[in-house]
Amino acid sequence: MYTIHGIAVSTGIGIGKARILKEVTLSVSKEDINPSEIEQNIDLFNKSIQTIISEIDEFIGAYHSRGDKKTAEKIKNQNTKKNLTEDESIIETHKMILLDPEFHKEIKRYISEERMNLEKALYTHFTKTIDYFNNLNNELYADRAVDYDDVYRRLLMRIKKIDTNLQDEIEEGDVAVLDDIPPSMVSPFHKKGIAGIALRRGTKTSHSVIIARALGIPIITGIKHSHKIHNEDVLIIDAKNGKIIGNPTTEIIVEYQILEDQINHEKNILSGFKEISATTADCELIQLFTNIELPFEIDNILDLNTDGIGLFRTEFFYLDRKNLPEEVEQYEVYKMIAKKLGDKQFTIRTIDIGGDKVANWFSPPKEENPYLGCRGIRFSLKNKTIFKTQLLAILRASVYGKVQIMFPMIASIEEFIEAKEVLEECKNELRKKNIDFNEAIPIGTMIEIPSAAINSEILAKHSDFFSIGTNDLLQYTVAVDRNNETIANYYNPYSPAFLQLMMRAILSAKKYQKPVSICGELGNDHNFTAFLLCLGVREISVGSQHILGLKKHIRSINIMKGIPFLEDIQKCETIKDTELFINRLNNICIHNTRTFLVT
Amino acid sequence: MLKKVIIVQNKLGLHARPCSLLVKAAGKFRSEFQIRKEKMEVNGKSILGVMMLAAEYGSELELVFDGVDEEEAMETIVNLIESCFGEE
Repeated sequence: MYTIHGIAVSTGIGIGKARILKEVTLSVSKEDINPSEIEQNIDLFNKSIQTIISEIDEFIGAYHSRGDKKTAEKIKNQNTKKNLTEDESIIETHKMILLDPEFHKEIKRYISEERMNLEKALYTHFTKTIDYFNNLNNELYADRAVDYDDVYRRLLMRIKKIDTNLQDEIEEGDVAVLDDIPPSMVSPFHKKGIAGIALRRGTKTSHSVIIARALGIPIITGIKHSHKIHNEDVLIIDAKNGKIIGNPTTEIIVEYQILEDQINHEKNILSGFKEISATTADCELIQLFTNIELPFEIDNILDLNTDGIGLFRTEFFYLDRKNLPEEVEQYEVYKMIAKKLGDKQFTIRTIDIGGDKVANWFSPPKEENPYLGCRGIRFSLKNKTIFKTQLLAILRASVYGKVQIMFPMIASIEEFIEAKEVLEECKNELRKKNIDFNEAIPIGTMIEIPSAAINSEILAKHSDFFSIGTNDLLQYTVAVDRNNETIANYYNPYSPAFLQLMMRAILSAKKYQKPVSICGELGNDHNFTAFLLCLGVREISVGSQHILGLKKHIRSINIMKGIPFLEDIQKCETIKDTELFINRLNNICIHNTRTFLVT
Repeated sequence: MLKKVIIVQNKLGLHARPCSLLVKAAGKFRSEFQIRKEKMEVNGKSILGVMMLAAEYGSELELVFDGVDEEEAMETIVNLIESCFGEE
């Protein structure tokens, strides 16, 4: 038995056999061919192109008929490399690249005249092409280099008969051990019924990790001493505690199996809450929204039957890539989500890079204190072209659903007004071109800086809604970086000062009859739910994995019973006082006996 | 053979999406279709060729069509470029 530690980035327990996966490196054979081999090489070229094209066509077919389960199922089982949420136009482009007459001509010339073998011919052609696009120094074309590289790898793998798909090595119930995993591979792993993933690299915010979390796959990153793991070892992934137990004793396996059963049992109970509303015991309807980071999460949300998206973090457009997203790319994503949500609310937060989230294409002057630096709306107002591109895309998508815009890191009314003016300029541009958008698109303020909470009345007057980002509001109120372990204990949501600020923002919104939602971690802290509802909060937005648990909890709360005691919060002087107050409030309001069958 | 000089009018130039649309449209005709920009000449039915032009906003392109359906082809392609590919 051995234990390996990593970084906890998800929850859950996975028990299965270790499967160590190696990344594929593509080597190219450089040998020239004999005249007799020319035909054979050209044949192989044509056949490989044909195979890939038919895979693509089938994929596009499935993309268009998502209602048609059979086709979708068929595709799913065919190890199609890309998942169905991928932008169709990229696939169309791949098809064009493969069918390009000039490309065919050149490859055939390399083979028949220069006697290159097919691999070398492809290598020569694509290297030349990719270099050309990269050297244009234009981000729009640099993106094409990525497409060409993708097509090249796909073709070469087909020719070398290398399995393009890591998931083929995986069997149901395996634990995959690898350096890092491409985002497109997580979903196929899930479909294969993987028990867990252990990565040597990967961070909490990498796309693959986000996807794994959303799919409920236990995942650990940054594992050390992975050489201890051998294929077929029995591994327990204890994702919550960030550790892996290798070849455990029977007692330990049983212990974890019981834990796993409990988790599954809870999940089953919760799934009964999908169809019913988040109504409190005294019949107040609470709206539950989801926070999402990646567009593909939308399907999961529709399944959960929530009231929409309360926070769409748009940073994925800007991080993990070398170039800026075009307006049309963003527009297509917003449009796709808005259409799927229909009449459900869709709140898009504008770029919140800076702070700890820094994009590749953007190398800002190094800041001594990035959390107090150029982030959120400050970044947008200093980079208006980037900001406007996003606003134009959102506005254009606003005709397809209940889209609303939210500005992050607003510290003062001046910034909010300036941001609104930029939005107005964008609206004017669209009006001039007769492009439709929702003239009355709601504009909200994210309350996450103490000054915004203190001045929340004036902000409420000018905003259409508030969303309280409790994590940042708390961190800025108590001046504690919560990632700093030595002082993390000072980061305490029971801080009376923090709660006063939050209450102030809620009351301001109420005063001007503007909707207010909670979108930080406090929204998912069940200890605080009754308190928030008593204060008048009727909208909460949390990660999709927390929705059902929160719904179950809300249904056990009786708000009316708590309201008479609410003013006792004013007497709380210390963290201890607040804890006692919240506990008492919960005892008064919460009825654990209310089951989900009673509607 | 038909020739026509045209200016790229969409702001972002012939980036990926317009190139795809152009090549897709050109592929529907039997006529040969060449595009000239300064000293470069490319096959208008080749996505690689058209993208290699890297034609930006304001670039001057000479379109050359040759074949049985050259008139129809020219009309379609010119319309597409003049409509800015549905962009601004």
